[in-house]
Amino acid sequence: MDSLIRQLKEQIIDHLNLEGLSPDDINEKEPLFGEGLGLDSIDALELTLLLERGYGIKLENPQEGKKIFQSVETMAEYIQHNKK
Amino acid sequence: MEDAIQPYYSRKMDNWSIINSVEINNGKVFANGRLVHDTENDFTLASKELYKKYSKAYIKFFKMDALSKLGFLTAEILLKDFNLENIDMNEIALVVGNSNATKDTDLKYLQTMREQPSPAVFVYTLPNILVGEICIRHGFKGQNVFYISGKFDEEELYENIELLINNSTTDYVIGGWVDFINPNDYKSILYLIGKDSKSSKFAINNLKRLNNIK
Repeated sequence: MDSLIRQLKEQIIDHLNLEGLSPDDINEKEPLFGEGLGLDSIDALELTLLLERGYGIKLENPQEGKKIFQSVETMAEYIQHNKK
Repeated sequence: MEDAIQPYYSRKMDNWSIINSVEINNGKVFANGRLVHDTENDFTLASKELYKKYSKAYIKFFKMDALSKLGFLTAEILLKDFNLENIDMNEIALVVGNSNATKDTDLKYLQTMREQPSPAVFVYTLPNILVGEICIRHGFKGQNVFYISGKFDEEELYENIELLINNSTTDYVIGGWVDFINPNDYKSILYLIGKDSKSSKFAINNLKRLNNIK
């Protein structure tokens, strides 16, 4: 799980162009949206693409995203259970 | 036509001044015409240098494309000593132009289209986004316009700002030019225009005097 969280942080930095950040700057328990990293709706699209391309997970129901993208930790848990 | 349309709100330009100006020109930064920073680095590194030196923690900066970063940093330096308290945010307007629109980002987006189009890159394929980034950063809610023109022309800028002032209740205008071609060829200048008796008069010759963009 730790290595998945680390990898996810690196991918988020890369996909969302957060070039000034390092994985250590991201707390896996902090909210990704609003507070924390302060991501927006465009970033949510990027995260959806990341799940699809990086882990073969297609979100059928967009409402699911709210729970999955709460934090890096919730993303990692979802990937672990649904990775194809 | 005899009955020409008159501006509904007309003000004399005599009291308007250039309060501040900042130019970023291929690694050189000028504040009110004076060199204040010089770097040999290309914009990828120079933008980080300037962010560390002149800006406060603003995570969204790193998500911006190069054009927006250039405009954002120019505005950060322009406004760093300007007190925005007690100013009506609805009455701060922006008038900005360039000649290359978002060409650099358009090409990057084209690259992503070959594999997977990137929404994060796509949102920066309109040049007025840089005006929006400055407004979001400082809370400006006034009028704004972004125009595309062949080259930076102080007379054109003056006329655009004059038109805005004469047709609105704007108190301040941030006007200028932000053009990004590649990391080794980029230029921006922003002027803060307002009523300030201590500053240079808002006039074409003063706009010309304060920049090195040719």
